[in-house]
Amino acid sequence: MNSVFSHSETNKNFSYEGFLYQKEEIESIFPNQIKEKLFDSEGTNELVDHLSNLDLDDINSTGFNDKWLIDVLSLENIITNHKDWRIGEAFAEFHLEDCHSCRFYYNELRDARNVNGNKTGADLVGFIELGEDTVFLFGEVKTSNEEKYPPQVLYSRHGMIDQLKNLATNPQTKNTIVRYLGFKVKDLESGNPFKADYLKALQNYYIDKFSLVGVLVRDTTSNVKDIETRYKALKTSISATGLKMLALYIPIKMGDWNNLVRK
Amino acid sequence: MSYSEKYKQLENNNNELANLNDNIVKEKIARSFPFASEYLNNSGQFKKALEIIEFKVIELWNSNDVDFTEYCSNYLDIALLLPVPKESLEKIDWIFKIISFGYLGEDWQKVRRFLIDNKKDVVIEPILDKWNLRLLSKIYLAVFYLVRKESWKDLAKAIEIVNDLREEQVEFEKHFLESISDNVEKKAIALDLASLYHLAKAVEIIAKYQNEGNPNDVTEQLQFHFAYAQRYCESSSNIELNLLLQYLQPTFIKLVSNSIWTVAKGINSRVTKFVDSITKANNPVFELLYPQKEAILKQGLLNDANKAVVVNLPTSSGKTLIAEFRILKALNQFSDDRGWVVYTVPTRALVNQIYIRLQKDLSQAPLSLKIEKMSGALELDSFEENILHDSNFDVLITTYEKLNLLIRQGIEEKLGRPLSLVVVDEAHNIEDASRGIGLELMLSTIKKDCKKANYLLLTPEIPNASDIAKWLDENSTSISIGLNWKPNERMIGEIFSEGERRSVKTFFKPYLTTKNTLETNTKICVNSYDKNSPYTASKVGNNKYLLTSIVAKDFQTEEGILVIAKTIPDTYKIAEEIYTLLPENNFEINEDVKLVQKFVASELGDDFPLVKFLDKGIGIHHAALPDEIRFLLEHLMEAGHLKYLICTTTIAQGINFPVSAIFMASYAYPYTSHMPTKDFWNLAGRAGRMGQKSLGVVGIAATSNDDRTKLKKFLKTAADDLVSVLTTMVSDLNDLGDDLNIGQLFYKPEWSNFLQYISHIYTQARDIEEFLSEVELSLRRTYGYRKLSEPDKQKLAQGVKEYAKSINKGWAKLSDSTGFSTETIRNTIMQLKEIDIHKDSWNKNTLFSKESGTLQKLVGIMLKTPEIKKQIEEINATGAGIGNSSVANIINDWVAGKEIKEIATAYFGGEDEKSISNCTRAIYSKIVNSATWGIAAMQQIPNSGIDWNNLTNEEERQFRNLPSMIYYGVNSEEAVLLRKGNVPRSIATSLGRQLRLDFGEETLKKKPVELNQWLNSLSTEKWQAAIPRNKEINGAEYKKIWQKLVGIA
Repeated sequence: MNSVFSHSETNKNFSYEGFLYQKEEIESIFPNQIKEKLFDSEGTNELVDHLSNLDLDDINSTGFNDKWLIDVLSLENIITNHKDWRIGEAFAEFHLEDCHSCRFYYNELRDARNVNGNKTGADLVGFIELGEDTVFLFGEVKTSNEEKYPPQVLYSRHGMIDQLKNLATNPQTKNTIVRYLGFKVKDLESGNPFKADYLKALQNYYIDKFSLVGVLVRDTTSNVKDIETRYKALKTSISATGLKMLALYIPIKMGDWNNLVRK
Repeated sequence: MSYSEKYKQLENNNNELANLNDNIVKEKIARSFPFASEYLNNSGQFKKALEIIEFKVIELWNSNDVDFTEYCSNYLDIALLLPVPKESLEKIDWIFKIISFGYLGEDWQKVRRFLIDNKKDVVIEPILDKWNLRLLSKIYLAVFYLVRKESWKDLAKAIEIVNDLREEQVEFEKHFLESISDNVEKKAIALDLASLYHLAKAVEIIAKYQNEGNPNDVTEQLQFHFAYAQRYCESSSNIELNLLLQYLQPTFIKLVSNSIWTVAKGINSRVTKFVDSITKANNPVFELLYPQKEAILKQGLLNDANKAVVVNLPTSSGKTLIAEFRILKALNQFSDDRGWVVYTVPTRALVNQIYIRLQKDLSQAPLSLKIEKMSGALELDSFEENILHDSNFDVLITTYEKLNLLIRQGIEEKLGRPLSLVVVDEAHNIEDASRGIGLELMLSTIKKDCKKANYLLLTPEIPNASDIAKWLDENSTSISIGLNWKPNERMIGEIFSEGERRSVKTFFKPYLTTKNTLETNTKICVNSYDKNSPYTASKVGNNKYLLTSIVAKDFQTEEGILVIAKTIPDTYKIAEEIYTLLPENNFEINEDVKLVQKFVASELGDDFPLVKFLDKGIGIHHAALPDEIRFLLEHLMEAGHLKYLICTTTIAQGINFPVSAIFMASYAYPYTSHMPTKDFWNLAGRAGRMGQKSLGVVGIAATSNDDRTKLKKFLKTAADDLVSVLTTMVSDLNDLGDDLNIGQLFYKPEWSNFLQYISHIYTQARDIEEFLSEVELSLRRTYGYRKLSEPDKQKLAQGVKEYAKSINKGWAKLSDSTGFSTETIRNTIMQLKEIDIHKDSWNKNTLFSKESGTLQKLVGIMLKTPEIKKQIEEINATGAGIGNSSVANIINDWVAGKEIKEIATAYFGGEDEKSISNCTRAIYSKIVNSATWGIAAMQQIPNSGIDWNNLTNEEERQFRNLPSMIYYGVNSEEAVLLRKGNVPRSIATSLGRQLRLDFGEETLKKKPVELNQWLNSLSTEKWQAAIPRNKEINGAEYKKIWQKLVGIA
């Protein structure tokens, strides 16, 4: 993996960078780390775990009828195809952990499958350092094979730039997630790294210190135009204390990603 | 920690929260003073503060940390300043948080009030199109009813909503799930539904529990359903629902622990019945306030080991309910001996109020306790004697002084049942200069005479409460509620004016006080009269009652305002100013106000200024008004039908209901520079209705720098320890000769009380030797004695011994039955001899006739009786040229049923407000107390002409009821009986005739309950027939007035 273009402001908290992965690297990462993340992220394993602990008898005790729910909850969960954007998100997360020392402790947060919960949430929520400070990292990921630079997913309505702006300006989205994490860590032991990161990041969050990341995952050739202009515009219009925009170039066509993951 | 300190902490850690505390205070002020609307622009900062506080709360979750409770309370405090979101889902989120944080911050009463006051903003139309949202929105409504619970019907409604949802499930669930094509999404939704079903079930469980106290394992059941609800939404990754459940679970658990059922669990069956009845009452109690819960569960209110409990709580913390629990406990503890309870209060008005309250709460089946009250008159009339003879009451309510008399007359022995509990309301009166010693010595006497008695003293905050508890019982304790719990928020400061010529501005400036009241450095402009002020700046700036009137007029509130004046004439001046300043027709006069207005006109005349004041929602309240009118005005104020109540500093102490603001032209009692701090804070505690959105405001007029300095100092003076009056009385010993005979001090009322205490103990001793050997012990029973220096103790003991040698046992017994000192008894015996009266002189027609002159002579003796002469003298002072004969004539006319107008014209110079006021004052605050007492006492004393051992039953009854005729201002026994049942004086005599017609010989044996039934079922025609001619008020209206006076309308 090589850095193909990059730019950083003097305080280093604002930057963009493009990375071109080698084919061999991808052939090793996808069937291993990405596969692991995907199974986790779609909650398949976990959901099955949860449900096997729930015998569903309890629903009857509520006085509501359990017939239909049991039917639905007993549906088999056979994943045949991962959606490309899910693979892109998993890869983005992997990259951030691998190259930027980010930590993601709670995979479910990445999951937007429940339209009633977390519908406006971020694609990624983790921790990163800004200088000496540990802060929350909120991220958006877009995956595109469009031969345009930048691709539409970057700037269209509900595109990455839009979403990042929303994350920067709307406290509600971030707050809900941070609160939820607060309950997740509260019973952890004090030395637990998740808890330690959370508590540090929370202190910074009080004073509006947090970081945003936008990751564009591509199967095209690399091009600084994917990011440069939009980054500059975004940088001046948001209030976050950190912003990273990344473009990850995968030298394997998107149509083949699924096979690679399930290899 | 106070709110403001907490907010300051937040300010220090976050730049965006700079001046948060000040902004919150100003925002709250601006809600009360429309002129200060410039301060209403902080919603951005408040939202930020809420975000931060919510994180702090989550950090401290499950920690049992006091910070946790305080942050929750802070959250609620700020959230209530912000508007409720309009969009349904946002609203659900917002309100659920308000409810949760309110409960977790021990402020549920604020939440409940908020839901009641803001129903329109809070309630949503259920979202019907999607089954999951339909469920959520209806569960939200059910929780709304669960928390609001204006009556048990709200709880039933919550249960009904859950049941309806179960039926709707059949119709909607399947269809809804089928409409989702993606299986992963379908599953997630199904998980959410399972989660919501568990939540709905939890709502149903808690609703049932609050209503019935079942199931017993309510907490476990709730935990079960919440655990499943959490697991399902965890699986579905529904973060919002997950958070909601995180908040609601402890909230529901709190609802259980606050529930009166939980608190009362396992105490005794009476308590269970009590709880059952008050949860079903019209204004039901389902949950206890934080101090009530603490008192019972944590501080041993109902612990057998605590024989004496001093409940040391701020005003409005629900002390009466605490007393009720303790009463039931005591009755149960001594049920084998048929123990009884006495509830003693400082004023006649409170006797009535507490009587109505206890009747309502305790006398209904299945508890069926028998509640009796005795008047404040210092004698026992035949009806009160009957109460003692029948001896089957459970709770007796009366004034301190009457109880003192009853105790010294050996009430416990007469009843043959033990006094099991004495409840002393407003017990801080122990240090009252004129009444305190009587109260202290009464408790000292109870300690000696009533071996089984327990004590419950209710006081506002006093530092040495536990010292007082230990005085009554060495092993007992006081209950003080720590934490920063306040029934409401208050701001206390100065009102003043600035300007020149006709350009005047009025201001309010809050000050730092000892009680965590809100404070800001800003002076708030209340109103600005730009060249159009009705008064010049110098006039407003130099006249406190004018200034107070103007500010009170400009204060915006839906609730009532109390305005305090130093003297009775000042109440009229202020009322007149406010009346003039208020525009015409700005007050919608309520039917009840109209009724009271008619009643006032009929009792005091159409021209009596109060009639006109009521047109604009202004009432006046002072000692010179008939009890009934005062009661009715309080009732109107409490019900929110009056906007202003103008009262004197002294009478304000008896105000027992909350108002939104108190403006004080004076904070001094007559002849003092300021009222005691305890009294001030007791009064200030009435400002701010529990849980209301706006602040309780107390503004005190200042017209000079000197005023300002004094006020600031006063507000920063911490309440002192409660001190016995005895500690100041001992300085009088220095004025005595070497023999230290304290008998010489009998002319001072406080010493008269002390001498009575000594003579009472003396009557119980076998002989002087036994008495002398126990002097020290008797003195130790008082609270004050322990606080004296050793030399003072010795002096006092010496004085008592000297005095004892002079006591005649017969006189001492008379002292017990009359409330006069033995010295007074001796003097009165001689004076009665001089006036030469006989048994026949006590015939009511003779006694109350101008011709006989008997009353005039008796009044003459009263004027030489230290215990009462001051009051009689004060009557003389009110009207020019009123002498003994006039006082006697006033009494005669009063008893004969003459109207106030007539009496005022005959003796006080006319029908104008001043004359009427002097007249009512002379009668209601002087004659009914002192002349009643004087006559009753003289009847008992040798040379009165009455030989009590040789009277027929009828004679005895008639003689006993004479003093009550003065007390109630009527001339028949039937009328006395009806007056006791709150029938207005103007119709008591004629209704008495009707009563006699209906019951004949049995009339005077009728019990209060039977009388109430009779009056209630008496036709309006018969009420009409009882009304004197020329009255504009009709029978139905009179009946309604009476129903209000007895608390059934």
